[in-house]
Amino acid sequence: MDNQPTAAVDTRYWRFCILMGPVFVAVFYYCWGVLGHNFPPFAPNTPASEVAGWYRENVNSIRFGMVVAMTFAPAYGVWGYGIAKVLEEVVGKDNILVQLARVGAAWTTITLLIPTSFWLTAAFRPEALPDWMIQMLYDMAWLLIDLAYAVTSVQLFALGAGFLADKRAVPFVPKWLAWYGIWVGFMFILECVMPYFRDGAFARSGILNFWIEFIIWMVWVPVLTIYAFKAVGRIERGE
Amino acid sequence: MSTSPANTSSNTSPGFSGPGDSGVWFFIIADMCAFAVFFLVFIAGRIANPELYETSRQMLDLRFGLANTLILLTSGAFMAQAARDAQRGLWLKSRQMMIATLITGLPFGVSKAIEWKAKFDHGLSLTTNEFFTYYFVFTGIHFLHFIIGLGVLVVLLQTATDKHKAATTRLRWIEAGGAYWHMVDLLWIVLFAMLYLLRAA
Amino acid sequence: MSVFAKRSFLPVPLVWALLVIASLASAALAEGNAAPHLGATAAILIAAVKIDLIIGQYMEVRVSHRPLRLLLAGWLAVVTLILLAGIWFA
Repeated sequence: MDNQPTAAVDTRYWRFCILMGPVFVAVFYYCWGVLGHNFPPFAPNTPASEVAGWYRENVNSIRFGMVVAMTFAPAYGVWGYGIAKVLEEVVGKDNILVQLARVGAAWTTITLLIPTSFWLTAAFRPEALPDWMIQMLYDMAWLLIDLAYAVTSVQLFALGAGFLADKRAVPFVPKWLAWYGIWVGFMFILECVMPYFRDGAFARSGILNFWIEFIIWMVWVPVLTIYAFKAVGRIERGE
Repeated sequence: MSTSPANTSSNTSPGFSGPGDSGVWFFIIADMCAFAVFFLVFIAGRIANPELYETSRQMLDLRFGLANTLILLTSGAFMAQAARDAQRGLWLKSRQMMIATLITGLPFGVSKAIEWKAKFDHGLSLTTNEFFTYYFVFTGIHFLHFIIGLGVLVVLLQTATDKHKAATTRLRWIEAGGAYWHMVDLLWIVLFAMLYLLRAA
Repeated sequence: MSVFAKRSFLPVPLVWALLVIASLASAALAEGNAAPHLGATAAILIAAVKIDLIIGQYMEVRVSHRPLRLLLAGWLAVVTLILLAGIWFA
């Protein structure tokens, strides 16, 4: 475990990468969430005609939202690498937790890119598609984005376990935030019952499986970003 | 067996006053808050539809609920004793108490399996109605917590006699793991009352 | 906030016995001949006492552990109120 003052660490571009986290959250919230009618989503028991009707009426803003969301999906991965680099200074470059933190972020990027492409597909020629097909594309995207939760849990657990091992008097990331991430990683498992429900708390639009699950993850990003920025400064000063 | 412990729990988190580890307590409180939301959602549903909830509640077998409660209380007693022994530096005894914790806790899993199977055999599932959605999901999530708790206990068996760890560290982790196990216990107490005992007129 | 605030730790077997008796009593009251609302209320209040015992005696969170004790007591109060609301507002 490398807790000695480090030899000069290459900090070029690091802050930029870490900044990409909050940028991702802001862009994704607006483009995927607001423009894409995903924050919150259509309840599963919404009639297909209503979902399809909304797609046909908002085709250009949906296309815009999805292409920008897809463009900025890698921002999450970039951020994840920036955070993993902070973790390197805690547990060492060779530690597998660093690799898992990176790959979890990378996998999450993929599982954001693919569903956004499905929503985009639904908006490509909605006038030619039957209502049920547009609904199915919407459903498919949601089933993937929700049930791919485990790839993000990998990132959350790796960062959590790694930052908990920080032996500094003032850790780079406070223990409570490391535990918070671990808790979020576990909480995601509720998504497993999402496919069983068309309404209620466990549906994709429900109080538990949408509101709580998404918010607890999205607030984690900017909070961790703040500590990561401070850590980079400390690392530059050789702490 | 004991009144005031010989040493208070030692904790190296600056500014934290309490047994175990402050970070683990954060996790425990967060988890308890998640369950509080579950309870709120259930009660909101019950208020909206008391007849459905009562009819469904009567399909539950109180004996399983009570058995599960007694199992966890007993297992928790051994864990509490294990912490007190650890505070006195009685590491081997603490380890024995944690083995007893595991052994007396395992029947919870068996009871749960039997109870759920009986429900499935009656054609009940998480999509049967709103009550049973909550029944299966919340006791299921609780059960996952129980399983994780078993894992924590297994690790603590090692911790108790780990010569490479300072006594204060060992105590901290035993208390922290114990706090988690007691959380599993107390959450079940709420679930038992909420699911099995809320009889409506 | 705890009935047991000022006491030192009780022997574990005694705590266990209290918890077991409380559990059996709450089941009996809830299923018994009392009016349903009253039986259910008794069961919830007994559950709260049990949890308070677990916090104080099993977890050993003392009143002197101020912020933590307050948080846990607050949680218990809120959850108890939620459950009681489920009885009296249904």
